[in-house]
Amino acid sequence: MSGNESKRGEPRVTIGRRDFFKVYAAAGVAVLQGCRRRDEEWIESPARRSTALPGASVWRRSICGQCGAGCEIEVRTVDRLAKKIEGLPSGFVNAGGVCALGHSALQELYHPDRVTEPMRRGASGELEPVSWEEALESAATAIMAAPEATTVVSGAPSGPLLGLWRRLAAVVGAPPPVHWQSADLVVEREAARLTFGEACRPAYDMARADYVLSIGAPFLDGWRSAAHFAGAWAELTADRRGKLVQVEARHSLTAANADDWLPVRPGSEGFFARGLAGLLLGSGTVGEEERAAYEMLFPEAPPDLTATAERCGIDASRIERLAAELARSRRPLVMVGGSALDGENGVAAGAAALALNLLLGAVGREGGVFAGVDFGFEDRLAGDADAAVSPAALADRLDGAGESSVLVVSEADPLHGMPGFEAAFEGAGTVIALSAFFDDTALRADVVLPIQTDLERFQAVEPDPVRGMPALLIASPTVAPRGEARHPGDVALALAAAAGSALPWPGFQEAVEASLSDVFTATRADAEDAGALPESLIAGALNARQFVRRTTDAGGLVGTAGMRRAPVRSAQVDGDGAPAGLPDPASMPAPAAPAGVESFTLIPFESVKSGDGRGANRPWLQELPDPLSTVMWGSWAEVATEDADRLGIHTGDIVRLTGTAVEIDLPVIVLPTVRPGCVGVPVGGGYADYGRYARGRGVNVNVLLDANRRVAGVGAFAQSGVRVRVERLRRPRRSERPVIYGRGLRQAEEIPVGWAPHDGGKA
Amino acid sequence: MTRWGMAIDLDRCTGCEACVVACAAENNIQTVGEEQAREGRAMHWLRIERYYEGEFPNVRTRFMPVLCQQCGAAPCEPVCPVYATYRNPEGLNAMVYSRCIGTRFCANNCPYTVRVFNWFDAEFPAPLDSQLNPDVSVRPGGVMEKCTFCVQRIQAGKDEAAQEDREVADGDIRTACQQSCPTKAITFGDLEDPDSGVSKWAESPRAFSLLGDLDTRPGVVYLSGSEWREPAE
Repeated sequence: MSGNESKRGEPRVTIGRRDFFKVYAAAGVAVLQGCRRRDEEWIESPARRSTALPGASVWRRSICGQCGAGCEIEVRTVDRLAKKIEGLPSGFVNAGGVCALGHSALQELYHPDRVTEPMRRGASGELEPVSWEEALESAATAIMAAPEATTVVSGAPSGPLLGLWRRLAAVVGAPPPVHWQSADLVVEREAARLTFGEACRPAYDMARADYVLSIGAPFLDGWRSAAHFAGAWAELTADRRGKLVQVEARHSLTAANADDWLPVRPGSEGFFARGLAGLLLGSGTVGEEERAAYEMLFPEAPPDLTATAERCGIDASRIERLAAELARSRRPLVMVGGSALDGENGVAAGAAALALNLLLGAVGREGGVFAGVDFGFEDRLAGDADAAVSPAALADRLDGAGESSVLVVSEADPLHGMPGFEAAFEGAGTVIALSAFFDDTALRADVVLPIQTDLERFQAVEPDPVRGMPALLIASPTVAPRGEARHPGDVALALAAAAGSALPWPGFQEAVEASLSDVFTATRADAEDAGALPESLIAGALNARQFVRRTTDAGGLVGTAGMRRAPVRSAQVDGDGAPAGLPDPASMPAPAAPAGVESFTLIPFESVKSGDGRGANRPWLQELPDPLSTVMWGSWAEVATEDADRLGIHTGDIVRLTGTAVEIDLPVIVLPTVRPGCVGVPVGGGYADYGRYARGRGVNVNVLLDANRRVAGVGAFAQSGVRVRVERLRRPRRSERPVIYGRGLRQAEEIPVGWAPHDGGKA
Repeated sequence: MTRWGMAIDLDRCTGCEACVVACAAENNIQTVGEEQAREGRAMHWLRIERYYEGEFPNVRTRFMPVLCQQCGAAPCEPVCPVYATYRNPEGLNAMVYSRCIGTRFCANNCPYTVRVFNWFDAEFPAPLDSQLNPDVSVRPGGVMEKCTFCVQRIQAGKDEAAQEDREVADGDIRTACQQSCPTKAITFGDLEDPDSGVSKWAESPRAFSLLGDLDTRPGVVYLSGSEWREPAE
């Protein structure tokens, strides 16, 4: 039985249980498959024999890379082929859960339209197969010709791989790379910095709270880690111990599962938080210290209940009840994310929502909010390289860069996901895409470099700090790579070498191991090194090599010190010593609708069936009914019953959504759960290719977004709040009818036959 | 004698549909494509029903996973002219694919509409077929299929217990949908064992049978009905 193979259910192995850290052993046994040193071959060889048994199931531990959560999984392999993905019960983030997108990684791996060989655009203008050497030479030549005009875009989550891309950009002389990530991550970090004094992703101890107010955070829909939060939600609501209130314009999956859903007007989330603060301050339950901390951040008087109710479009009595229940709760918690952070006032709204935790005494308390921390392996691999920048910088950087510019895109599809990027992309000189599929960017790239999918690659990731504790998770490849696909980290290193700026490691795995080795050496040299590992762990290893081996064998490292209290921001952090308030969403004007035209607020959302679009090429997910609209295959627009009646729209009609300069036509689903005045459209449709299951299916809602709308304070794209016109075009042709599963969303009273007590299943 | 059964806590189900994809992956369920899906021919063995309660803005949605109820008095069984579907000794409503001639009488008679028909031969374009579970047959066109309670996992659990010279213990066998559920809303086991998890769930005052008035004696138990109550001061 080899390193990351296991007999299911074996207890995890732990090494060094003392002090601050321990070696993290996931799924129990060692991760040795990737070992390449000669003296370890004796371990690898028996594994080859055991897995060669025809028809035998071998379960291998791996890490899901479908989003940045870092869920640990077990993969059943038979005859070296992956058959099934299941959540690892001891998973650090997911504790056994895995979402629909995670399951579908098998169809990404075995997709019939994978890119499995390097390609280069030839004289005919078509992409033609070339050798890796030729492809790398073409890419390196372009980079070397204009290093300062080279822009690297990486879709890797924060962690070692992103650090490597930062290092690559630095050594070839390119500006810092663009980190292709959801905009709300940047906003969330800034809101936390303003509120708590530390730019971090907050960690919410939902499982131990007894009352959770989520302002915009769609945590059951895939936000940050659906598997983690689903488990936490189950603990929160077990035996109806705790309550969830969701404040969000859209009836998301999270809102659908909330005990109360408050459908506020889009963009009013920050105002809502300030109004709620006013009620809490007036409730007599807020201590003097908490009041002072809050009022330092927001010195202005909060809006009153009437103003809040009017601005947010919510009945005042519901807001009052919420405030009263929050004030009476023993362990209340306020979360913020999603649509609350995606608007132009996202930072202000985020800070106003997080600051409610100050009033409730929830900062650093059991069932409260903590600072999400990481080990900093991204910075360790990046060395002195500058930090990555947000996607909004990409368009600015390419604007007018000219034909000598070079765009290196790894695991990202800016041409599909970035509003208004088409023109800048057209003007780019050479585009090099590292992709497993012909997504919109790779389809028009000059050089396409095939990369391995999750299960084919060595993985070293720092998971989303949803648990508040740092971790570095490591896993060996589960199956052999298809065709000539390579690890994106290995490609980055090969690019650096081809460009004459070779880095000291032959591959990504060696880079990670070298980083671990440095940690060992630094800790040995300086026990006070706060960023390194504790003496207790180091003492267990004779040398750096042994430490690295133990760590990779065990599946990584995890912090065990528990959640860390987020520091509360001091008034002096702004430099001049004078107390400074935060931007107050209550003093910001309401978003104005265009005069004379009836318009709707567009709400782009991620359905569990496709995520940010990544899942659009998998037949399992295309044929999966959306949890609320029940639509399979393709895109749709969600419109409220009230609006539909007024506009004469019926489910299935083709409607036209018109933005600033672009329009899209798609079928409509009329739902009683949509807030009037809003229209929701899932992202992830309208690919030019992306494989046979996604090709030409649905529409790309991103084209309606306005590239000039930015989140104040951070410059990220503001996705929420775009106004569009909705008009009925016609009844659909047969081929245009939305594919609705069964009878769609039905009213509970329409169930034809009543439910009856269970008879215990006795026949 | 064992009676395999499942309990699903609807108060824990978020409707995330991870179970639906896990079921497809485990049981080699084909996808039929947009056109056939539009004709109502999608092949899911497990579906999530959803219902809303109330009117906007006081609206709430409920989710209910619906699969073959493995009925003790299954309406699908007596109508099969070739005995392709039958009740096995452990309470499974089993299908013999090689015997099925595709009359679809069983689907017509199933009140839960959980049986699906292979209108065409399944297509798994290479190398998608690399993922197919070798423990589960790929059904040909013209054959009816439905949830089996992951019978291949039941068999594997029995085999493992036999190799270790012991009885199958509660929790040894986990269906694909149960295993995938991030909220642990599904439990599976022997309804005849009073100490099994599924039996205890079935005894809950929140337990009910779907369409229980029909007296099909389902092997699937649902739990629902609790609401949040503010703790007393």
